[in-house]
Parts: sequence; structure tokens; C-alpha cells
Amino acid sequence: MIDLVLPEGRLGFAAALMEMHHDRKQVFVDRFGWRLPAKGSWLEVDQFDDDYAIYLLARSPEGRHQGSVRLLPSSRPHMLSTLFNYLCPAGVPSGDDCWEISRLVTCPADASGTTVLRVHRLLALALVEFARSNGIARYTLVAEAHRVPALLSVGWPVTPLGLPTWVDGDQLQALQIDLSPGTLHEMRSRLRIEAPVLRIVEPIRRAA
Amino acid sequence: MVAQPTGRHGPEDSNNLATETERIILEIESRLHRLIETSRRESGPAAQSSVLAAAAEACAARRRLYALFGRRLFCDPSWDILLELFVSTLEGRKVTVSTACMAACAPTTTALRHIAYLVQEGLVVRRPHPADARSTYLELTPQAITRLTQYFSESN
Repeated sequence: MIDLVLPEGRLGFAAALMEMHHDRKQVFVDRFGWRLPAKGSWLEVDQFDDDYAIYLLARSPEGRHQGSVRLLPSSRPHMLSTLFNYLCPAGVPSGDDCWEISRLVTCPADASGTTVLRVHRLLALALVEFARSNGIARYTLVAEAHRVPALLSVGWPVTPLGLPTWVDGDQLQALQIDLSPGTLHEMRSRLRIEAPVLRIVEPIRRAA
Repeated sequence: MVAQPTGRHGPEDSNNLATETERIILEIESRLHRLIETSRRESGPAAQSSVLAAAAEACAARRRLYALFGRRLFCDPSWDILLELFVSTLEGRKVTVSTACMAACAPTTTALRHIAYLVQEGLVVRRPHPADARSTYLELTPQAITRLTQYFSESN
């Protein structure tokens, strides 16, 4: 299952979220060498991990972070509109029906390709389920050009928003994933996962 | 043991409270089953299936409305959740919080708020998921079942 972590529900996922930020640091800063403000920290947290960010979280049966993705509403400042707008020559897509995907990560300790692939597939299905119940028709994202085939392989339609561009030694490209009412069914058939994967937990309530 | 009006509750009070809560839940469950059985006996399978048909049609009508006019104008998450729970109850299906949120046709945060309202209003109760400690089932209370049955019987 993939857990939906809403801003008001983060307390219930505190440990897994800490592991997520730790894994992000290990993968993006230590392994990929991205120039992020977290260089001297043991966690990677940026200005978009704010009160509006939503996370989809894959956890092991013991509750440990296995993989995650961050979602930002495009109606507010997000990565594509503030850091990478030059990747969209025709303008950055925005609106209530458009959200941005970023910081897709899997736990670096899960070296097995099968686990990583399964987590990616579950996260992709969870993204489509979340989109369906939240009126989202398209996701935007910035990806390294070499990751585009993997993105296409889950079966959703991906459209480039601009040409791949060299940035700090990586070829980056802005992309849009268009979702239609039939996308979920098509992806479930393709990935052979028929049951819903997104688990929504009510936020922990504090006594008044 | 009677709970003290003031002061902190000790472990013994918590145990008593848990036992008492469990007893109340079992009592509600048994009343609910009696109510459903009585309703089946009194109304018969034909009436039961016509209530289900009317509720399912109401669900389908909501979907048509959203498809034709969009989600904002006629958004009514509490009613969508109640309808989903009612149809599922009559069909013998369990509904998780995730399913209820999907049925709400509203942003998840909004749907969760409406679930909390429905619980507060005594129309819905939360039940632990036997196989998944992180998940919760939602069920209609006997009061909600009675009112919804009445609503869909009268609308036939």
C-alpha cells in the first residue's frame, strides 16, 4: 500500500518522513551530487517541503520508508515555476487541475531492482488514484532525460514541455503527464495490480 | 468503578473505559444486526432490493452530475459518502476511509473533514481494520441506516 501524507497528517508518519528526508540526502546530494542547500546536513529538506506539500509514501511492513514522491499544487510557487521555468518555453502549466511531482526517491538500501521497480509502480498507481479523487488532470515534473523511458514504462501518456537542456552536468527536461478517466484502468491492467493501492489515514486528532 | 469527575485517569480507569467501550460497540453491533434482520423480515427482499436500486441510482445520478457540470458546483461530500456507505452496507461490502474519500468527489482533506462531521453527528462509526492496523473501516450507525432506508423507501 501507499500512504497519503497530507500536511495535517504528518505527525502520524513522523519517523517514515524523517527516513524519507534522510534517503533523499543520500540519493540526491551524496550519490547524484545535486547542488542542494542540504549539503552539510544529514537530511535533505528544501523550501518546497512546506505546509502545502503532500507526500505519497511506500513503507515496509515494519513501517520503514521504501520510497516516496512529493506533490505540490501548481497554483502556488513550485519548482517548475520558480527554479526551472526556462525549461517550458510555451509557459509553465498551472491551475487547480495541475500538480507537480518531485523528489521521487527509493531507499538506497533497497538495492534490489525488483523492489525498486515495485515501489515505482505502486507510487505511479497511487499518483493516478490521488489525481482521480482530487480533480487532477495533469502532473508536471522535471526529470533527467535518461529517466524518461522509465517514466513512460508505467503506461501513462507523457508529453515534453520543452527540449532537454544541460543544467549542472545533467540533461533536464520538463514533462507533463496527462490523465484521463481511462488512465487508471489502463495502468492497472498493464502493471497487473487491480486493487487500489492508495491508503488514506485520518489525521491524529488532539484532544481539545 | 465509577469514573472520577476530576483528576487524571489511572491505568485501571483506562482498562475499565476500554471494556466499557467494547461492551457498547458489541451492543451497537447486535442492535444493528437485529435492526437489519427486522427490516428484512418486515419489508421483504423485494422492498430491500428496491431501496438498494434507488440508492444505487442516486449514486449514479451524482456521478452523471459531476461528469456533466464538473465537481465544484454540486459538491456534496457528506451525501456522497453516506450514499457510498449505504449502498455498500446493503451489498454487504466494507468501506475503508480510502474508499469513502474516493467516493466523495472532493479534495481528500475536505472528504476527511466530512467523515469527521458524520462521525460527530452519530451517522458513521469508525472500526479497526482486522488485517491492517493502519487502515480504518467506516460503518453507518443504525440511526443512519433507518433514516436512509426511510428516505429511499419514500422516494420510490
